[in-house]
Amino acid sequence: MLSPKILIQTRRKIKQRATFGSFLLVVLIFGLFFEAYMHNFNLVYIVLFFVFSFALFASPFALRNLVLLQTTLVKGQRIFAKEEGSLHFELYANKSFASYALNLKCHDQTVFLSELPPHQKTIVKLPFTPNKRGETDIKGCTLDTIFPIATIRFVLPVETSMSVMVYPMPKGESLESFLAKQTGRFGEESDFDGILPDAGRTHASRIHWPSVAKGNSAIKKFTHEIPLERLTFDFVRAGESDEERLSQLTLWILQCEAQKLDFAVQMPSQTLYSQRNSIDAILTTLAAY
Amino acid sequence: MQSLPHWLPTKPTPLQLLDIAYIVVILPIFLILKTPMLFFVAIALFLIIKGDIPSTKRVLMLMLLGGVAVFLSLYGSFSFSGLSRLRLFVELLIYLLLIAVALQRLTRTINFYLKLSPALLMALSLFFFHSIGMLIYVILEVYLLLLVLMWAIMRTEIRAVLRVATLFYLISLPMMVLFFIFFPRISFEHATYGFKGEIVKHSGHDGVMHIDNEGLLVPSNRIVMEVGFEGAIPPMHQLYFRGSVLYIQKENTWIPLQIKPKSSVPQKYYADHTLTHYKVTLYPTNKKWLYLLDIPYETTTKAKTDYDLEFKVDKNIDEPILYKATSHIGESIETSLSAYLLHIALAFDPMRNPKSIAAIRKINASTDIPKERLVAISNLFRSQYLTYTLKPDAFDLKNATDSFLFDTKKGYCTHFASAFATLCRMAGIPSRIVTGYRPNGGDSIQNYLIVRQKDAHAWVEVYIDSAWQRVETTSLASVIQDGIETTNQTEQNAENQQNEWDKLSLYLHYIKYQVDTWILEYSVLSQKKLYSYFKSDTFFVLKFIGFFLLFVVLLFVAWWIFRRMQCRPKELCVLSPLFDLLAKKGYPKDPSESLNHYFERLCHEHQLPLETINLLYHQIRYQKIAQPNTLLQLKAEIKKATQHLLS
Repeated sequence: MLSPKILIQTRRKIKQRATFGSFLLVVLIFGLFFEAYMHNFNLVYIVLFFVFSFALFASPFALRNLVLLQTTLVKGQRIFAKEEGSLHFELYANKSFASYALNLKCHDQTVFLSELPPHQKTIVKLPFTPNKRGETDIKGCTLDTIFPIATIRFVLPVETSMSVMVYPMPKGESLESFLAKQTGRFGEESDFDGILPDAGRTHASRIHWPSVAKGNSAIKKFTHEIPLERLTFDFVRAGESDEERLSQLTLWILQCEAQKLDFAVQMPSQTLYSQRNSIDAILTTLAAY
Repeated sequence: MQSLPHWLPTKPTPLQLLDIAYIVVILPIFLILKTPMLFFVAIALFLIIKGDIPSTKRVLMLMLLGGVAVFLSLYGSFSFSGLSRLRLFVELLIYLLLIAVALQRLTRTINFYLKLSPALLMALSLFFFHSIGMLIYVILEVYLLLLVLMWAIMRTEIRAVLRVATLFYLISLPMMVLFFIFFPRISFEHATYGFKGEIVKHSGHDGVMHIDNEGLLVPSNRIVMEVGFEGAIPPMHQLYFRGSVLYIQKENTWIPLQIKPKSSVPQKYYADHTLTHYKVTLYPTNKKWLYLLDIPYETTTKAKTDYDLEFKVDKNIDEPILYKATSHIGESIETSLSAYLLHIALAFDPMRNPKSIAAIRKINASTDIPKERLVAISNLFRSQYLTYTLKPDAFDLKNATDSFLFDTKKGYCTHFASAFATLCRMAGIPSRIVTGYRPNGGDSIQNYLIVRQKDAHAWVEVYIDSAWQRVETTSLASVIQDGIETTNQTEQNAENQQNEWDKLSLYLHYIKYQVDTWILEYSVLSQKKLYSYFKSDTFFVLKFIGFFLLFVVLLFVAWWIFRRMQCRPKELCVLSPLFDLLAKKGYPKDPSESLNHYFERLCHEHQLPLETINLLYHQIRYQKIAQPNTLLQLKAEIKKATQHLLS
């Protein structure tokens, strides 16, 4: 059973906005009133009073729909500046009945949830494209509904001090291209693991010349191709401006992660090692630079 | 065809929802559509069901067809005077709206007026209907439209929508009822101008009286009027609803005076407690008479009365009317009798009925006192062992009284009344025949009475001692056939005559009457009456509040049932009250923790006996080892835990 205190608290938080349905409701009530009142059309009166009652009970019904809803931001999603990502929210109806027709709105994005079952968590994904890197506050998120009869939009602000770390936009030269420019970056001859077809534009030191001599194009493959101490990204050399550098580093880090390569990032004041720091920690450092 | 379980989870498109709304609102409109419009609607429906988006040419053709259909439907009504009639105007609006909706629906595009039109069509359709059937439909219609609206908003499966819409509807009902009762009204009655009822001819009472020689009177059960008394119904043998008064016998037909005396009966003062107040719903008779109980006193309707205490309206009654009336229940009307009327009230044809004339001569010779002559005439009737029957034998029309009294000796009320009035006139007693209704008493519940065509009746009034006094002539019958009325036996027999079906039918009529009175015809007068009860009758107030609370409780029970139904899955639903109790006791569940963790935490940290509940719940929910009775065990454990928490 809902306590009046909780209901009152929730009611104070809810803001009401007129909708097009409000306008139609007023027109309908006036129309029916004039039809009924002058000529005592009791059937019209019945319809009129039904409409009136629905309008009156819409508010408490909407309050019941929005009460005891908990919205929390699920962290751990990587969000990059100027790239479409998604915010993950966990919605939980901490009550014994379901909520319906909820719109979760955040940063001009809306997602519709037709039903939120009681005592169950639901993860809602909301598109999010931040403009800049760094810690970004997720403000002004609301849960709103036009339930039950669309005459009023009931808006419940999502009360959480939520923030997400937006990583720099991954952009720049690819890791492959970067590696191609490096010298002595491949493994020892003892690590030779076989040959691969040559896709072209391969550094001369990596070409498997015996195959070339036989008329084939192939490159050498090593078990340990890039020793850690050799794959170091230098912040200063990564680009011309800070943003370019951060974007470039982010791209390389992500590509290293995809290829399971260990690396180091030489920042002006510190060096970040992938073996010591998690990828997210390194990206966070870049984001906060 | 998909089975119901397959269909239930489906979510309709907005267009499908609109289609449902249109079906709901158009159903009653079909009853008023003229054939050409029905034809148009059928074509439009065919094209909509076919599903193709028609070409512009085809749309134009359909629009033209719609125009023609409207023209043909309203052909003959196109005049300025015609258009002033509200019904025609509303009908035209509905036709135009239907055409617009059909054309828009064909494009399969939802626009503003396609969304708005269901509400418009419903509002317009309410102009045409004023019956219990429509009342029930309107209540259902509102529910269905609410359901469709909420379905469109919720965009979820029908089960959830049904449950929530029903909850919302139930919770709104008491408020609607309160508004209906207490919202201040200004109109006295339901407006009917511009709406012409069907012309219905009722043959029960037609203002004249024919003496047939071979008539078989078929009693009709058609209801003429319904009467609601403010107090108890007066004794049945005193219920004479006065219709026309007949003075002139033209061969075998009794007719009223062609020129009535201008004077009316002087309004006699009656003490309030001797007056009976009642309300009449009179159905179309196509006659001008309002039927008031003898002796009529006054009525609220604009009706004219005269010397004979007939109450007549200006125009024939061709639609149901409601009127309130007051009467003094009695048998004698004190008044003077002009020489002109005396002459008419004594007139008879001396060339007819020689046997009767001979018999009366003997009576006249024996006494000069009118009362004694009257008794003698009554005794003459009794001595003839007359039979009351609805199947009288053929008799001599030239000497109808002789034939009835001395030959066939069979007849019904008109034969008795005609013969008695004629004999009275022969005896020098002014007499007249009154026709109207005398209900047999079988069709009544509490203060409610139904008067049917078969209750049509004729009786005689004789002028004695400066008053017109009623004589119930059928009471002079010695034998009753057909189980039909006599004054004394009617009340005794009435109950026996009813079978169960009749009783059910009567109760249904009673309900209908109450619905008519308190819902369909509810007006400012009803409100005033209600307020006066509130002011003066504390018991009534308590009764009213009691009934209203009972209504609310019933709705709450229904609401509770529907609310329970939403609990899914069942095992979680069973746990729900326990969760609420635990939260109340200060052990709320953290949203982020699993149920297993929650129960274990409470067990270890707070020593609450929830291990078994945890075990059973997870068996039912996630393991295949649950038995059919595991849920019962879970319920029992929850009960135990609840008791533990409460103690």
